Amino acid sequence: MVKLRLWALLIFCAVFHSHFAGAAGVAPIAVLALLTYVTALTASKFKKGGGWLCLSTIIIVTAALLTYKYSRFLLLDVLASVNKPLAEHFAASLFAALPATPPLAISFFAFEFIHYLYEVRRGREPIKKPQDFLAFAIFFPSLVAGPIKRYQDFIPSLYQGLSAVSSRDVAAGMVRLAAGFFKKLMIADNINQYILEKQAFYFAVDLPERWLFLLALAGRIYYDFSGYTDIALGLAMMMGIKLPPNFNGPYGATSIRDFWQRWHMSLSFWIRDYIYIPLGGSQHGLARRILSGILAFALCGLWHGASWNFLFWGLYHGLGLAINTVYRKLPWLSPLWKLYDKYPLTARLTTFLFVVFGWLPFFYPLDKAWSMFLMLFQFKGVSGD
Amino acid sequence: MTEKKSYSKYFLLGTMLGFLLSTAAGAYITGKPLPLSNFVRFHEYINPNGGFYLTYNQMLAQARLLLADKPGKPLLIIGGDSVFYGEGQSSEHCWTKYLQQELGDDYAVINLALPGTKVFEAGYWVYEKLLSEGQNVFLLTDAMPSTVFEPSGTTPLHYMYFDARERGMLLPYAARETFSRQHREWTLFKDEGHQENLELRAKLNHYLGVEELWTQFTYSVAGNYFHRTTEFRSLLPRRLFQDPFEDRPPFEASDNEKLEHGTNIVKRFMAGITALYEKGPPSEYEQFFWRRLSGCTQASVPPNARNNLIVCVTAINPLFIDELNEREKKEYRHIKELWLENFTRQGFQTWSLNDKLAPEHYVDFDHLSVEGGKAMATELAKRLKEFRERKN
Repeated sequence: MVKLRLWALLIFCAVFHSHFAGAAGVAPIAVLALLTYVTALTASKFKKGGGWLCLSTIIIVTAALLTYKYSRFLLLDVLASVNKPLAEHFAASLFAALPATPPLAISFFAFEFIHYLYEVRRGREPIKKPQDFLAFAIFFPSLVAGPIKRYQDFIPSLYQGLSAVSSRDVAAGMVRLAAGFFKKLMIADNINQYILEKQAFYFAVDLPERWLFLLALAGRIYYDFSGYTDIALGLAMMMGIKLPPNFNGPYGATSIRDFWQRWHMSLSFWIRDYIYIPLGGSQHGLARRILSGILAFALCGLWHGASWNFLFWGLYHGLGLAINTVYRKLPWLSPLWKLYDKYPLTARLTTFLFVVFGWLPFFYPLDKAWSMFLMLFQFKGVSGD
Repeated sequence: MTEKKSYSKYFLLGTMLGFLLSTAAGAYITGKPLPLSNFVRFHEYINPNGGFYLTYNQMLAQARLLLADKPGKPLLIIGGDSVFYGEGQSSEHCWTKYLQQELGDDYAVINLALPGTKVFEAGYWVYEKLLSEGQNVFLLTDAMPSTVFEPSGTTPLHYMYFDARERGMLLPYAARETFSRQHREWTLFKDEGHQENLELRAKLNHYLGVEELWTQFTYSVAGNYFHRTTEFRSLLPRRLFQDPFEDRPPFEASDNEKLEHGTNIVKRFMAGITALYEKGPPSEYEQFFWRRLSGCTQASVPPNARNNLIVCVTAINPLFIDELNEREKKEYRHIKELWLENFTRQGFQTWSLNDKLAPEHYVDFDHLSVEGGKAMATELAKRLKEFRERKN
């Protein structure tokens, strides 16, 4: 029965993936998945050299991600700013071979494959059965918008769900699913309508409405993304399978560090485990710790999209985290952290403001985001004339 | 330690029952009109332009309500765009009220025109259903000699066609069914996903009654979607909103900015199609335009639904025509003639309308003031009486 359920699930996942990704979206993922699966199995058989094999495939997966998702940005924005003819030369030959849009959810696939290979390289047991790996790779509820799974948690949970699903799981999953749809369709989409309607008049409206607009941006991204996550978690839960949580009241965070423990948790923990810690983490002094944090967050920013504003957004949070790390060590800032300790609400408010200001460069080009930021402190609107 | 009692089975049972009850409520409510009082037209807050996606059934039910109210009277459905909707006139002074007065007991008039819709949409689909039932029904619709359309309707009414088709409300007509597949070069909806979504939406509404229930809910209980027209009142039920249109003053000839703007619209439209009549070989685009108009007209209405249908090609404010040079005026008249010819050739009763209206009858370049509406109603009433006499 378990086998039958697994194959039924796999067929459904494959149909889901091929329907939404199309042949051009499925082919590269299939190749990377096959490579990842075979690499991990082979590497686990070698006591020596297996690590290099995993590392080689991690490099290939990363290269695929860079090619599909970041080549335009790297060539047309980064390389072109220093050597335009060279960038155009590469672009002409590369873009002809690439699809117009990257394969569906390639960032999620890449991050899960890298995690898997990294863990196998560290000595964990690989997934033996190809059907289990396939379920891990294309599990449909988390395919489009995560959360980013960990295979060592997913596979046992998958088999638990395949062997028995209780009515409690189904009921809890349905509630979560309904909550997700409510967040997405009723709250986020409504706020989005407001944003689409008002953004053209942002500079002309009164100060309170500009702040309201900023709050709308914050509300839209939270309810949209956490709604999607609830839908994914709810669907999985209805099959008796647990997925990692992604949000835990992030706007109530008391610091930037706390925020990233509550916001898109599966991504921030991935960044911590597979970028920040390998870069040295907190083990090599304050300067290295700060530098690793900033670099990790710069990559976190770029993960959201290939453009300068996402890079800036990542650096902004990296800087916030750096300040978070050092400010209690600076005596002249002691009144501030004493205030935060005495009145935690002030810490929450500061964090919240830092985060919501950050949504401006996340959603808008940098020059526009900066003008919008300045307008938050200017009483009169700017006439359209 | 005792295990906590689980109510999940009851919850699941309740969910299933709730689902069944909702679909039963949707099925029950299907075919019921919106509880509108003193219906004049589907005003801005209860039509798709205001973010209220009334269903095909609700429009049909409104027409049935009038049929039941005035048994034995021929039903005259007003279809078409904002000119026939009565943009420029308040609900109180909407031209269709005057048309009803002028026609007296000869017809029962219902205004199903909507701003932005085209010649064979919305009201037309209601007409087709009632005609197929053998009802004594007529359609009076309008077209500006500028607008392109297609059988499955245009934005914002595209969904309503699929809603009607899914429920089998339209006459079988292969040319219409296969139009978008056979004429990929003409269709306005190149994205097949868009059509698939609308078909799925229509299916869900057909079998589960979701949109029937939801629109009744948003009309009577609470709004659900932020819309630019209702802004922060979007959560209020639509029953609280009145027709916002007011009587607009006649167009000021001294308003050069609007005059220029409207004239440019006319010129832009003509620039797209007039090259066909210049010396030398016509460009491909213009030939394409006329073939497309003819093809779309042909595929929109089954031949057996054309007898009781009148297409009015409406005139624009003469002030704007005056702004054109002699060559442009000639071209405009020629295009209008071809437009009339297009409908006449395909068996429609076709009238050129409002040709004698003065600039003060208009509020802008094509919409009519209260006086303009009255003049149009008088002209149409006279023609309709003649039309009926001829038919009898």
